[in-house]
Amino acid sequence: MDFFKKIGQFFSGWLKGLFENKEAKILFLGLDAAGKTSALYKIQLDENVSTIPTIGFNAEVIQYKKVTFRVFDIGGQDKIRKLWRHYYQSTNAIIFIVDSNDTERFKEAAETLREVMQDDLLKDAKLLVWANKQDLPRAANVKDMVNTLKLHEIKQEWYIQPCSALSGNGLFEGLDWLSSKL
Amino acid sequence: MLKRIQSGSNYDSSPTSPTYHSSGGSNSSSSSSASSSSNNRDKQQEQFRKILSVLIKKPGNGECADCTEARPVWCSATFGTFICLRCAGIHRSLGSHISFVRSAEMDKWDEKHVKIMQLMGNERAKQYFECNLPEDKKKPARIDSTQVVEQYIKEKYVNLKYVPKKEDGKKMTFKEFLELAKQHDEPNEDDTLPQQKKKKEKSEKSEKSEKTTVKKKKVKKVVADESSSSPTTTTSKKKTETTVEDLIGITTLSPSSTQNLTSIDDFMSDIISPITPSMNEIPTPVSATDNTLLGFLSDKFSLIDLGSSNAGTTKGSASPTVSPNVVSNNTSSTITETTAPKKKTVKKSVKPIKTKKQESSDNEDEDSADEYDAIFQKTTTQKAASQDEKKNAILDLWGH
Repeated sequence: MDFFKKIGQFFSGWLKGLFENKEAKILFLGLDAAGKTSALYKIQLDENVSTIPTIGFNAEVIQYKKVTFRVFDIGGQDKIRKLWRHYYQSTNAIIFIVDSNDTERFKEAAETLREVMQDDLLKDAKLLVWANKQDLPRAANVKDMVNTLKLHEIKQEWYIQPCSALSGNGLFEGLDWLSSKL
Repeated sequence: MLKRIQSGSNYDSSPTSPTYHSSGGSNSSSSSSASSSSNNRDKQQEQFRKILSVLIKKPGNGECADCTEARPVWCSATFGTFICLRCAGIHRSLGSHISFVRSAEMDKWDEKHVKIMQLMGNERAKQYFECNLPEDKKKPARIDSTQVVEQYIKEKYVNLKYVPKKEDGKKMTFKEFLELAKQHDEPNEDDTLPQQKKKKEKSEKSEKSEKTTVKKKKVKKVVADESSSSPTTTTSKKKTETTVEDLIGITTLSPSSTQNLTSIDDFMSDIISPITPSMNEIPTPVSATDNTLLGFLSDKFSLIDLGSSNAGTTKGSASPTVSPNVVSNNTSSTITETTAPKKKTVKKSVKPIKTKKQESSDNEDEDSADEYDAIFQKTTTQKAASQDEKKNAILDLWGH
């Protein structure tokens, strides 16, 4: 009798794991013109939308591999970065997007990222870094970016993924890592 | 969705190297930013913002450099232009190595970018990027679709399709243009943000006017064709003076920009008034010594020289492309009643006088066209006026 009970439990757990949907709140952060909005709509619509600078935020729900991502893509202008922290509450993961082509501003990006990840509300959040715009010829390679962005100093679990929001390459690979960690 | 998702990626999707993701242990980061330095930075940013808020009021900067949308607050820090939100999006899509977009209000600025904004502005950018814009090629307007604007922006900034050509027939690079502009603005000064110096300018004035007379003949050649095509109207000297004061009133925030403003205003009033010095007074590029009327004009004409003297494609239309907007932007308080309707006609066309006249006569306001003719003749006779007179007049303008 006990044996059958156990088998039943096993199967129900297995089935649950198979069909149950996870939900996660994700923030797209990064400096201005990093490609946050472009990446969001590339994933959501598989389209290259012509974006305008985001003043405020875009919110989308993305369903990917049994995970429902509720995504907030928040404008990256210096002055409105102060608003980011108001979205931190109950955030499961940060996707930090960096313009790999804009090497001059890696330092600023590193500083910004450090400030974000130091926030207490994000101490359990995962960090996915998208090294965007890899399609451009002068894009930095990911190994260098790990150092210049000082990712090793970040306490949370992180992962960096080269990608191009224009072609869509690499975006979903990043989400794969993220969904495995949520 | 899933199908798309699984379609291959060129990028290494499984970074095995430990450097690509977090390792278990972590170092504690040391974070101590000196508050004093950040304070300084804030102050500097504040200063930059003030400078930009003044620059944005400069004539020409009141409408988007690419689609003429009103009151742009975004900037291409690479090209020193003010652009609207939509064009900012398009510029950003080109990549930061081509056009680095900043918000005049919301972004942190670098000194070098602020300098470019000071040096360029939409008027100057037009002189360079739209120097050889064909007459039949229309600039996109606010209502045009994004694709149209995007196409235009790519032609303009990536392919550099409309830039002036040098004597050897090659396209002038933006860097060269910047150098030129710099030479005209501040040949003696180092690159620090100009916090100076009306006094110095004053002392230079007399010098300058002397130089002017010396070089007059040279310039005359260059200007001869052009001066006739620039619209001239009647504005009394008094009016000019008042506008200068007005502008100073607005721009007390930053002395450097004020200087810019006055000089451009002078430039406009010079074009507007036929009685006061005609265009013949313009010195050659070399003689310009400061960020002044003279420098600005000579800058302009040196370009025309380069453009029209050689490249066959050049239409020598730089002057008309430049002046109408300068004038049209000044319609506020400075212009007398008689000049107002003319502004209208001027604004519409980027073409040489002939077409302008035709257009205006096609339009309802024929009076203004006649008036225009009269003034036009006036200016041509004016060329013959004695040089001493002109010299006095220009000195008058400078407040001597």
